[in-house]
Parts: sequence; structure tokens; C-alpha cells
Amino acid sequence: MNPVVKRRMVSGVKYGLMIIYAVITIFPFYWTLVNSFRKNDQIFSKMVLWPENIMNLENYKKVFMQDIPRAFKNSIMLTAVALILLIACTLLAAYVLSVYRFRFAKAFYLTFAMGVVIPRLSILISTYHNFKTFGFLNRQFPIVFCYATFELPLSIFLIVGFMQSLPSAVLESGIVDGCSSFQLLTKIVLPMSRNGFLTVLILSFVSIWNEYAYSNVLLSNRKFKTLTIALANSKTEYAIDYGMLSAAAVFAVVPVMLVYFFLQDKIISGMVVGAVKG
Amino acid sequence: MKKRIVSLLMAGILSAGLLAGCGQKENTASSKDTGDNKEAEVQEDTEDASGQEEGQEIDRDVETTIRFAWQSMAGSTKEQLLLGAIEQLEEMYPNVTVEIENAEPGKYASKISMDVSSDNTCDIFSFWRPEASYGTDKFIEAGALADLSELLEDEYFKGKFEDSAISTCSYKGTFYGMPENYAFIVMLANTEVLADCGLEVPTTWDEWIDSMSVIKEHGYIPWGISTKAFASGWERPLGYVLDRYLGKNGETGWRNEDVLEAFAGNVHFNTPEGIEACNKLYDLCAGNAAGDAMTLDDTQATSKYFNNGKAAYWVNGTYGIENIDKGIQEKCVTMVFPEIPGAPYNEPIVDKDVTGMYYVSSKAWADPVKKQIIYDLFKILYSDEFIDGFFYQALNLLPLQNYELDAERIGKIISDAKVIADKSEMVKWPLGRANPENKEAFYSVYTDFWAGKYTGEEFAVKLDEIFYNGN
Amino acid sequence: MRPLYYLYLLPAFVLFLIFFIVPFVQTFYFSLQDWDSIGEMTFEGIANYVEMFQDEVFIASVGRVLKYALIQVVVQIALGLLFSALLRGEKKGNGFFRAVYFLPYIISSAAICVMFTVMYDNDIGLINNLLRAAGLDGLVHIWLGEEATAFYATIAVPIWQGLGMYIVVLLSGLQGISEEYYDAAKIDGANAFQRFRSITLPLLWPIIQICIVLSVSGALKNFDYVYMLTGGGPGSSTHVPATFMYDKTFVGMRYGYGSAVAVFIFALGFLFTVVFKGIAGRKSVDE
Repeated sequence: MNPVVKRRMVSGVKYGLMIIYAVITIFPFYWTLVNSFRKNDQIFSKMVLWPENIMNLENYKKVFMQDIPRAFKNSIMLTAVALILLIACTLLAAYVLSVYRFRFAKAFYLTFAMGVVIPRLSILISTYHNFKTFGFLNRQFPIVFCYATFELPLSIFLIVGFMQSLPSAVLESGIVDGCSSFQLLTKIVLPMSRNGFLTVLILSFVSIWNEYAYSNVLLSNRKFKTLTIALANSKTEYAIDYGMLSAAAVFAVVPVMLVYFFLQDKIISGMVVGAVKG
Repeated sequence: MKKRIVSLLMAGILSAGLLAGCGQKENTASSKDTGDNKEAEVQEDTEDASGQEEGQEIDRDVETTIRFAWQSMAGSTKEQLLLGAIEQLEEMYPNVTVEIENAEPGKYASKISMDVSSDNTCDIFSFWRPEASYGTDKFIEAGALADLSELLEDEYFKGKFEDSAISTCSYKGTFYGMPENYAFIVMLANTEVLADCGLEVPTTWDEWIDSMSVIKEHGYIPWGISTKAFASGWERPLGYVLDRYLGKNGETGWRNEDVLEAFAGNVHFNTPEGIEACNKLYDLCAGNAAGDAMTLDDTQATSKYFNNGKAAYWVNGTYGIENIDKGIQEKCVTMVFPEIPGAPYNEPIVDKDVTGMYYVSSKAWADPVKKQIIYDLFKILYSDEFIDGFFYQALNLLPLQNYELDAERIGKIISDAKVIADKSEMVKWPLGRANPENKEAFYSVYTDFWAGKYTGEEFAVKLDEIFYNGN
Repeated sequence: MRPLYYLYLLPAFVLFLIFFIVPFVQTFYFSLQDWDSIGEMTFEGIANYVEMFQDEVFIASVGRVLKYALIQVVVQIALGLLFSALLRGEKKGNGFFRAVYFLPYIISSAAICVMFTVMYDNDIGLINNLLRAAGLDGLVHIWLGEEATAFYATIAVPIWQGLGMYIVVLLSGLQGISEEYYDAAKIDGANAFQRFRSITLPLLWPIIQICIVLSVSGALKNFDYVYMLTGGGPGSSTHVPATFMYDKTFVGMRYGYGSAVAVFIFALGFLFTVVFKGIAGRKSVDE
């Protein structure tokens, strides 16, 4: 067979596979979008690819009554604060663990790394009791301590890996030039680690934004609810409105998707380079 | 450049720490609360006791926060009413802020129990009955909940509630919760579906059982309900049947005391009566729900099968009626649970009980300021305007003494069901005294039973294995 | 050794200590008690652990989560490599595909589970409808309702959701490998498989290692998906240790026992990490 034709065929097959998987990926979202325009009884009577009545905005009205805008604002505020705290702590700790040797450095590193395997749910009740002791209950912001702490192990793990792979020549030249440890951090290491931090930023953002177990318990006050919780709460004990849940899911997804599609290139390339080095 | 980064970093850590530790503008109400409330308490302590009865003496300039929790209701009419009541309260007391706390069904119980565990109980919250099955008894034993008996003596509330309701809301004789919701079991038959199978609505047990296979032959599903763990409707046939075979042991206790004690682990299931009951239950249930009923919850099953005219029978509490399509409701009639031939106890019975209550934390009740506010909140909630709203807009019934239910406004289904319920003796929810830890194992076996995997006798033995305390 | 170094560590460590280590030690302490969180605690020593190891449901859940971790890591890494290789080869539309594949990863698990609950439905779900349309009626199942399929249907969801991230990460790794290596190998007469084994695998190994750790630890800790899709049922056929822990702790109100399960989950992850580091450490990249 003509090698060019063969190449085309193979190429065709490859594209076919990629397209199939793309469809598999997108379809659940599309279908949820369709269901968001339908009522419970419609959803459970048959499967359709287009809503019976696309002008049926009942579900969206109901979702709005759940105070979604405020929940959205809460999510953004809490996530931002948690990320600031996280990056600040990770930056300092990972720097000194990766660049310098000192006593117990290894021990500290392992302690942080072990955090990856602790199931968060297991420390919920202890955390709740401790919050009571600290006077953190019934308030909106203390939960960011938990958010940041949960992302700390993986973040330190990734950034240390990243920083360790920085060319030592550059670091040495800095030391030779007489930089203090802090100057070395700010002048040389920090700029070069930008991509690693982007990775950590993305992974942690997703994790914190979607956090459920702790937010549910520590932010049960209506005014404090995050978007994830507000949407999960759109059920009642005896009646779950799947049409409304679908609309809620759309609400949860669309803003993140928009941000994602606009920043997509930057996000993925940043993440990618970060992961490679890490 | 360096200085800028340094300061940025420091600012970052500091602000994050500050924000987290001190809270933000949003919180001024509650953070003020801890400080100011103490002031109010001290003030009240030095005033004389008259503050507790009249309320006129309460200093209305003190900022107070009341924490009120309930299970998420996703903006339903009932929730609108509660919010309306809170609004009225806040108008009455401009210095009071009500902080509302919610958690979704399934998570609400653990939120409340964590609150109690950390001595952070909400001032007022709605919860289930004070039964072992819900863990409320533990809250009471730990002293977290207030004894509300004095409310029953108060002129506004005296004689307002039915005696049976007061009894349900009491634990070891002490009244702890104001009734929030009252429900009874409703059984429906879709006459159109039955007619299509050439059947009339069954009035005897045998007719009912015989109808099952006929319905299936015509391609319909007998029970359009869920057989998933923690669903509500499927437990009712279990209760009805067991109640007719296991009765009242001795003179005290409920009509179905033995059933309650069996689930509590003090009475055997695999006695001849128990086995016979399970055999009858088998005829009624096994293989008679939809093939995928174990993956669907109450709402989904109702939507999918009953509302789409694919099923003949439905059962659940009155709280489940709102899920039923109005069009289908017109085709339904309420069914009376027939006598079971050969059963020892065949008088009419129904599980009609308070299903939800408002509890008050003992801390809040001990605080004269909060006590007065909560008392006024209750007055609003049980005012004529709100009672009317709860009954006819939210379909949320209340156990009021001598209340004339307006049949027109409440709808045919509920009023017909109430007629049946009024003629029936009250029995309690079978699992009320069960150890929460056994519930999961039970539901798993019960799902399989509905799927036809166990005979009646095997099921009785399984129940005994799971629940009996000697095992 | 300059004490300044410890100052750098201070913020992270203090945070970690107060909000992670201390609560975990407390949990360990609870695991030695019989406690319902409201009333009194009674010291029981290792009784909870003994009971745990004799509980059939628990043992089954452990076996299940190990199976899940294995399936997840194999599928995610293998398919990740496959699709990233496809993407690398076919440059057209790369950006689009990358964006699409990564999409599920950023969506909250709650929303995903709602989507899939309806997708798996017997009558109106997508999966069964597609099967019926393709004439494969024999393959139609009540995915979340039958004991035989429930577990696999449940784990398919997080595997699907996470796959996009691995595709993107591995793709980047592949793009970091210069074409020259492959060209040289082709000239030497190496076929695709040999090229993969001697060039791709060793150079990509550090990234693959990270992916393995993430994938496995994710599986061992998994709670959200199982809980939201099946709650551990039907029966207990989809229970994993994390859902078992949740049920015992928050439904059964046995905080002591639940804490013991929590400690076990930690120990499991710890064991895996140690063993894995041991094995992986032996492989040298410089080959």
C-alpha cells in the first residue's frame, strides 16, 4: 500500500480515537445541560438529546433563589485567602528544604510528605473540637487554615522536586555573589520557580474550590456557604429535584469552564512545565 | 525590587493570618455576640426574676444572635414560611439577628451531633424525634437540650397540641421539642392502571396479593417506590404487616410494642408469628417493585414509575405527596390496608406521628434574653397565619388539638387519607428504638428481600441475626 | 547550621502541626476509645482494631480499594500514555483536544456524581441507551444496582475524571523529549515498541512516578465518589475503607471505631509510599 495512504489511514484512526474520547468527555456535560431545562418527571420518562421545552427556566430560577451569587463570592474569597497562605508557607519551606542541607531537613520533608496519605475526613471531628477551643466556630474565615493545610503536603512535595531540578550553577553563582538566603530566594529561585507555582496553584485551586466535607460542617451558616455547598444543598429530605440539580451543576461548572477556556493555554503550559521539572 | 517582594510576601502571610484569625465584616454580628451576650447575661442575672416571665423588661438595645438550624429545604414553600417567621421576629426585635445554618439531608444529623459534641449546640434547631434511632436521646442525656415543659403551661400553648404528639415529643416523660411536622401514612392506587389490568381497587388481602401478578402480566409495576437504603416509603409495608403479628406485650407500651422491641433487639424475629408475618410480607413485596428500584431514591422512583403511569401502588408519608404529579393524583384513590387473614391483630392501625420537632439548647433556654426571643418566635410559628401557611401552602401538617382540616384546600388525597388515619389506632415507626449501627445492615438485607432473594423465613432469621442483642 | 533555616520552615510547620498533626494524634487517641462523641469515653485499648480486622465488611472493603487503586493507576497511566502519544503525533487541533480532555478534572465531584447517577440509569441513562441502540441488549445492566457491576461502575467515574489530567501531564513530558532521539532510533531500525521502551519510558519515568503516587493515593483515600454514587451499596458491595469509616463514625455514631479505620487508611497509604519509593528508587534514569 502507498505509504502516504497508509499514513493517512493511521492518522485517521488516531483522530477517530481522539474524537471519540472527546465526545465521551463532553457528553455528560451536554446532557446535564439538557436536563437542566426539564422537570423530574420528564427526566425520568425518557432520554432525549434536546429538552422538550428549552424555554423552561424554572430550574434556573430556583437555583438563583439558593443565593448563588453570594456563595460564589464566598468561594472566591476563601479560596484566594487560602491560596495566599498556602503559597507563602510553601515557598519558604520548600526553598529551604531543597536548597540547603541542615539537621532534620530530611525529617521535616518526610513529615510534610506523609500528609498526602492521611484521609482528611478522619481528622474532621478533632478539628471541629479544636476549632471550638480556639473560638473559630461560627465564623467564616478560620476554615482557610484547614484548606491551606490540606494542600501543603502535595505542594511542598512538588515544589521541592521542582526547585531541586534548578541548575545548581545559577544558585552557586548567587551564593558566590554574596547573597543572603533571603536574597537568593527572592532574586533567583523565585523567578525561576514561577511555573512550578503555577502547577501548585492550579491543583490547589481545584481542590479547595471543590472542597466539600469541611465546608459543609464548618460553614453551615447560610451567609458563609461556598458555591460547592450551596449547590449540594439544593435537595430536600423527601424530594430531590433532578432538574434543579442539573441546573445547579451547570451553574457550578460554567464559571469555572469560562475561566478555564480563557486561560487555558497559560494554565496548561504552566502546569505542564511545572510537572516536568517536578 | 527585593524590598517589594519581601513586603508583598509579609503582607501576604500577615493578611492571610489576620483575615483568618479575626474574621471579617460579615462576622461583626456573631463576634460581637460572644462579647455582648455575656454582658446581657450579667445584666439579667442582677435584675430580678421577673425578667423571665414578662419579657417587657428585656433590654432591647443589646445585640443578640440566635442560631437557628434546619435541614436544607432548597427554597421550598416551607422554608419560605420559616424565613417569613424569622423576618417578623427581627422586626419585633431590631437588635436580634438570626443566623441560619443549614446542611443537606444525609449530612444534617452529623452536623448537629458535632455541634452538640463540641458544646456548640444551636440555640434552636429542627430535628427528628427523641428516639434512639436518631441519636437524639444521647443529646438529651448529655444535657444539651432544654426542658420545654413550661411552654405547655403557658396560656398561648396550653391545650394546643394533641396528647399523642406531646407524648412523642417527650423523652422519659419530659417535654423537649415543639412539633414541627406531623405525618401519617398514605397508600395510593392508580385506578387507571388497575382498570387497564381489568382490576378494581383491592379491598381484601387476597385480592391485593392476587393483583400483583396480574399487574405484572400486563407490563406494569405493582409498587412504584424505591427499595434503596434509607428510603422512606418501602418501610411502611414492613410496619403494617409486622404490626399485625407482633402486638403489645402486656398492658403498657404501644400497640406495636413488640415490633419496636424486636428492632431494639429485645424480642426475637424468628418466632412462629414473626416468620408468618415475613411470609405474608414476601407475598406483598418480593419482586413487586421495579428492577432498578434499589438505585432510585423516593423521588426518582416516584417520578420514574408512579408519575409516568407505569405503576399501580404507592406508599409513603404525607410528606411524600408533593412529589406526586397532580395529574396522576386525580387518578388515584387512597387505600385502606386490608386485614390479613389469620393474623392475630387486625384492628386498623397507622403510623401517624410527629416527624420533626424544634429543639432548644439548654444554654439558650437558660439565658433569659434568648428565652424570651425564642418564646416569641414560637408564638409566631404557631400563630394562625403561619399554621394556615404550613398546612395549606406547604402541605406540612401539625398535630393540633381539635383542628378542622379544610378538605378542599388540603387536597383530596390527604383529606381522604386523614379520614382513614383518624379511624386507625396510632402505632410507632418500627425502627424508632433500633441501634443506628444496625440500620445499614438491615437496609441491605431488606433491599435483597424486595428483590426476592430471601424467603419470608430466611428474612425473619436475618432480621434476628442483625438486631437481636444476644447475637 | 544556621537557625534561620528553621525560621523559613516555621509558618508551614506551625500550620501543619496545629491543623494536621495534632488532630491526627487526637484521632489516634480516639481510636483507642469507645466513644459516641456526645457522652463519656471508655478506654478500650486495641479493641477497636481487633474488631476491625474481624469485620467481614471491612476486610472486603480493603481488598476492594486495593483493586481499585490497581485498576485506576493502570488505566490512567496506560490511557494517559496512549492519548498523550496520539496528541503528540497528530498536531492538528491539539489545543482543542487538550482543553477538552482536561475539562472533567476541574469540575467538582458533586456535580460529576449527579451527572453520572442519571447517566447510569437503567431506562433513561445514556449508557444503556447507547448499548440498546447498538443492538447490544445483552450488555445492558442496572449499573449501580447490581452487585456484579456496581463497584466497577462506581470507580469508572473518578478514573474518567482524573484521566484528563494525566493525559496533559504526560503529553508535556513527551513534548520535552527531543525528536532527535526518536529519529536516531528509527535509523537504527528500532520499531515503535522498542522506541517506547528505550527512549520514552526511561526519560518519562520521573513524571510517571509522580503520576503513580498521585493516582494510587487518590484511590486509597477516595470517599466522595463511592459515597455519592452508591453509599457503599448495594448491600456492602461497593464499600471502601473511607466510606466504611464514614458510616461507622457519622451514621453509627462510633467515633472510636471509625477513628481506628482512619488510622488504618493512613497506615495503608504510608506503607504504599514507603514500598513504592523503595522499588522506584532502584531504577536509575541515566540509562
